[in-house]
Order: sequence, then C-alpha cells, then structure tokens
Amino acid sequence: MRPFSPYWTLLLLLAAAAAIFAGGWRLAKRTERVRLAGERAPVQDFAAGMQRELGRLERLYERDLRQLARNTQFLGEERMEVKRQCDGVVGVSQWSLVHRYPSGGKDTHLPVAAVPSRGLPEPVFRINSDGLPREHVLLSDDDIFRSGGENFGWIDEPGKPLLFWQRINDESAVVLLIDPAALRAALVPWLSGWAGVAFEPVRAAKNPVVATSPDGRPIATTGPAADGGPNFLLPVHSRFGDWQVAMWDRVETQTFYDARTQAATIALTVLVALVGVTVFIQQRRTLAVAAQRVSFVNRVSHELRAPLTNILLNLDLAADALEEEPAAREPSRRLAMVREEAQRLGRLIENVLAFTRHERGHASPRARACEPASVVQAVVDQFAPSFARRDLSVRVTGNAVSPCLMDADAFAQILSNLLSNAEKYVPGGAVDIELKLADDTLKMTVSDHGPGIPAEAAERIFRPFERLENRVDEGSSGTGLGLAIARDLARNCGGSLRLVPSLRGASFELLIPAPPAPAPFAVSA
Amino acid sequence: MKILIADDDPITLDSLEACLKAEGFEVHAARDGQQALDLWKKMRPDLLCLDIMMPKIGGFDVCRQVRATDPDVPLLFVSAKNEEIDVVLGLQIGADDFIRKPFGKHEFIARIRGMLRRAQKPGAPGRSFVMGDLVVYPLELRAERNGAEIELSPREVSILEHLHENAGRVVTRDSLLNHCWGIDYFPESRTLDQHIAKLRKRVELDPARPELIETVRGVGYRCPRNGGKRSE
Repeated sequence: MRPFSPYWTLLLLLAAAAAIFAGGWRLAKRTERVRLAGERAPVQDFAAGMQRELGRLERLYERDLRQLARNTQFLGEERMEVKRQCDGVVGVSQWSLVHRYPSGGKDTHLPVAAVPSRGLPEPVFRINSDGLPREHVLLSDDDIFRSGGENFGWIDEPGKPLLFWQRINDESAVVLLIDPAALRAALVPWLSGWAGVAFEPVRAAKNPVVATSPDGRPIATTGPAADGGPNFLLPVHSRFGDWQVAMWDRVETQTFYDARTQAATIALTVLVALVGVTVFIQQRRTLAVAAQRVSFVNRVSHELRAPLTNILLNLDLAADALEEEPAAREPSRRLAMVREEAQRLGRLIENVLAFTRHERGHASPRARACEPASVVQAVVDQFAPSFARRDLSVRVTGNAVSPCLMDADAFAQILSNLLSNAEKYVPGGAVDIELKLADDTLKMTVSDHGPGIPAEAAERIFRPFERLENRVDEGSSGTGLGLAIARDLARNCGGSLRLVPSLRGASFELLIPAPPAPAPFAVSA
Repeated sequence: MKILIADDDPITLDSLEACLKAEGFEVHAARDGQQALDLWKKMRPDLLCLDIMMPKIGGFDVCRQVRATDPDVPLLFVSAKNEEIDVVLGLQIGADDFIRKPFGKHEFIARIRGMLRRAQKPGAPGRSFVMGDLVVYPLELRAERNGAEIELSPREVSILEHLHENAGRVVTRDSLLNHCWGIDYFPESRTLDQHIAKLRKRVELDPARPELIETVRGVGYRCPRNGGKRSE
C-alpha cells in the first residue's frame, strides 16, 4: 500500500486548524442593535423657525383680512364686488355684515366659495328664527364691541368654525368665515419652499426626521419615516392647525468580539497547527529513512543484476563450448549447477525488488500478449535440473494455450515462487500444475505431495517474513518473502492467490484476469 | 547480419559480443553512446542493442537520434533498470523491445531472433531454398518442415546455404570455415564438427542417420543432389 503522504497529514491538520480558527472566531462574534438618538438641537431649531414663519404668515394673513374687511364694509349691497374682493384672499369662504342690535338692520351673509349642502354657518349676535334650517355661530358682543380693545380679532373657540371679525363701528362688524383646510393647502407649498434651506442642518443629523402639516402632508423629510412612533416629537401650533416635526432614533447593528473566546481560539489554532507541523516533520524523517533503506536495497539489487547477467551469459557460452565434448560431462554438470544457483539468486533479487516496489506503492501490472502455457513451460524448464536432483517431477495439464493479455513477468514470478516453495519443502514426488482458461480468467492450481500446510497457517504464510518454522536450524533456506510477494503480485494484477484445502500436500490456487489478446499480437514467453 | 551492441560494462559488452558471434552475427561493439552513434552511421547495422545508462550519450538519447532518421531498424534496450517507467519510456521513444538483467544467452538470442523476424516486411516474399522436405528462409533465420518451425542462427543458415549451393559436391572443411567463419578466423579443429552436430539435431529427422548433411570422412560434408532446388 502506498504510504500516506506527510503533506496530506500536514494539509489535514492545517485545515483542522483553519476550521477551528473560523469556528472560534464565529463563536466570539457578538452583535447588538443600538439606538442612536441623534442630535436634537437642529430639529428644535427647525421647529422654532417653523413656528416663527407660521406666526409671520399669520400676521400677514391678518393684515390682508383687515384690509379686505375695511374695503368691503360699506359694500353690503354690492354683492359681486364683495365676492370679487374676497376671492383675492385665500381661505375666505363667507363674508358677513352683522349688527349688534336689530335696529341696525338685517345681517348680510355672502358665501364666497362653494356652499356645502347643509349651508355655511352664519355668525349672529342673536338667533332670529325665520323657519329656515340654518347653522348659526353665536357671537359675543362683549368681545367685539368692548371699549378700548382691538377693533379686529379672531374667534377660534373649540366647536366653532374659524372666524375673523373687524369692527366697523359700535354697532356693526364684518365677520369672515375662514376655511383652515384651504389655507393650509396654500401654506404647504410655501413652507416646503421655506424648509428647503432651513431643513439642511436637520439632514446633517442623519436621523429620520419628517415635518408634516396638520393634514399629515410632508413639508420636509430626510427620507422615509422609520417604523413605529417617533422618538422625539415637536408640535408647532398655529391658528390654522397643529403642525409637527417628528424625529426617530437611528437603529444600528454593532459587532464586537469576545476577547476570551478569541484568545482560546488562537491558542487552539496554534496548537493544532504546531501538532500538524511536528507530525509532518516526523513523518518526513521516517519516510526519508525508509526511502533511504529502500533506495539502498534497490541500488544494491540493481547493481547485482549486471554481474549476474555476465555470469549467466558466460556460463551459457562455456556450457555451449563443452556441450559436444564427451570428456567434459562433469564440468558441464557443474556449470549447470552454477547456472541454477545464479538463477536462484536472480529470483531472490527479483523478489527483493518486488517487495521494495510494493513497499513504495510503485507496483503496477504490465499486461501484454502471451500464452500462459508457454510462460509456465519456461519457468518449469528453469527448475527442471534442480527438481530432477530432488526427485521432483512437474506435470502440466490444462488448456491455457490461447493468447491472452496478462502481466507475464508477474505470472512467471508467482509460479517461480510457488515452485521454489515446493523445491524447498517437498522431499520428492510430483508437482502438478493445472491450467484452466475460462471467462477471461486464468486459474492455475499448483499442488504437491509434500508435508502440507496446516489450515490455521493458511493466511499467515502469505505475510512477509513469515515461515511455518522460524528456527534457523529448520533445514530449509528462504527469506519468507516468496508467498507474500506472490500474493501481492496476484492482487496487483487484479487476481488472487490462496491456499486451498487438499487431501495431501499443499495446493495453491491462483486466479488472474486473462482476457483474449487482440490478433495479430506478439507473443512472448 | 550486423548487430550493434553498446554497453559501458566491458564484461557485459564482451559477453554479449561472444554470444552473438557464436551464433554467426557480425557484431560491432561500442563503449558509450557517442561511439554507438558513430558506429551506427558508419555500419548501418540490422539491429541495435543498447544499454540505457552509458557515458557521454545515454541509451534513450541514442534511440531518439536513431529514430529521427531510421524508424524501422530494430532496437533493443538491455538494462538493469527495472522500473516500469523505464520500460514505458524506452518503448515510447521508439524501442521495439526491452530485456531486463539478469538474463542468459538463450533468452538474449531468442529476443534478437524474434526482433529480426518481426522486422521482416509483412507480406514480402522472403527468399527461400529447399533441402529435401526442409524449406529454409535465410533472411528470417528460420526453416520449416511440414509446418513446424525451426529457429536457426545466421551461422547455421550460412552453413546450410553453402552446402545447398554446392549440392551433390563435397564441400571441404576449409571451404566451410572460410565461408561461414571468415578467412581470418582460425577455429579449433572441433568447432566446425560441433556446429554441424548441433545443426543436425535441429534439421535432420534422425541426426544419427543424416540425410541433408552427409559426412565425407577426412574431407568435409555434402548435401545430396536431391536436396532440392532453390526457389525465389
């Protein structure tokens, strides 16, 4: 299995540290809604200014009404002229000439604006019922004809319409019925224009502020009014209604962090990050040591291959030279034994390399076209002289002659290791190799008639460096790597290798994928 | 057939050269990549056999330079490097085969023969001649009898070819040695007899009673006139 990279460990622990930091920071975060009252002085100044402006307008309006009353006091019979002059003053809805005493004459009431269906209330000093349904406003002659007082004034008592009076003499007065709504309608645009400049300091305060008419029409505003009732309300009184300036508090969400939670978060983050770095350094050291060891074994194994090749080549050349010499039978036999040992050494090197490759996770199958039976025969041929000396014979049966795709080198090494096992532990007899190619899978069973392997050791024998008998004097050589490597190679090719129950000796079953090779193909043994 | 071998290990180089020469190949040996390239340009061998790790120019670079001008010449890598990446890289840059150390003479020669056989143009009619019931294909280093294939070395082909060209006549030992080993070669007395004995084991139905290669005691060997006729 490929070792877990230290970089992954570092990444994992740094990610954990980052997650702790983010989570802790989130836990430390606090939010609060704060009401900001804002500066009230500009609003108060604006309301005072508005009060003054309304007072000024009221005085101007009063002056216009007095002028109208004086101009029309003797025009009682000229109704059209009275109406024309009344039209020139905003808000006058009825002109009345009233007499203190009945001897003064009949009161005159001239509606100026549109008359509602119920009629306009008529100001009178006394009520003379003439049978017609009329609404009257009873005037107090003490207020109007009081000696030494002003000769004009307002009647704005609760429950009465708004009236302006101008005394003509000690017996008569002009009374004007004022429509406050019409007057306010005329005042709103005027005040809006006035507020254009006067409202600027209020805007600077940033809180929501709205100045409204008695009808609720806005005169000046900083923007949409906030929800709920105003937090600061200033009424502006006038004869024509109560205006108001309303201000709301500003609501802001403020964020702050809990210092203790922050400190704990930072400490935990640093701790996890330090653990990550420490583990990373430790793992790298361990891997470096392991890599050095593997690299050393690898280099040594590689270095052994070149001289081993030279030994094998020259053994073959020497054997060929002696082949036809009858007197050289014994040297030839000795050379064959040397060759066997050289081949055994070669297999040992291959096993060590396969093991280091597996340890580094570099093992990968190399499928190529081959005939399984040919591969088996080539391996069996290598073992033939050694088996012959041990009274071992090999019987190959089966149908695996069709070309198929498989890692022939791995397959040969698996079989070599199984035969090597028999070579070491089986005293004599037949070793049966049965091949069966079906359903894109090669099944190979290698059975011997040796002492066999106990069922409880069926898995243990496939572990590296495991041997049935680990005593140094058990009589057989071996590293304990052969079967482990054989199983790793089988698994690496997508197959399996296991010990199967048998009546006598040991029996190994190899299953390995072997799909048919596409034709034409190059077969190699 | 000319084969160029290159390896920085002098013993390996000498061993490979001896193996190939024993089979009758004409061998040119190089100790480094530069020498291999020079020899390749000069000799234009039929096959190149290169080590990967060599001084001056590595085997992979030699392969690339050869493939830049000759995409067809068979090229075999011989190396102690066993990692899959080396094999894949070697095959990707144009090698035809990869043989990993350790290996013996027979595996090496079998690979060489296989590569030379595969290098023959598919479908091209190979030159052949008939000796009795044996059909010999000299360029493919093989013979056929009743559909069964027999592998031959260049030297064995050369011996059969020389005997066939002189069918019915006695071919002296000197003539065979000069023709098949070269005029400057002074083999031991038994070299020719050993080769003939090995050849008979391959091509005769009964090597004890040879019908294709008869011994003319004290003089040399002979292929009977009914050994067949050459065909193109």
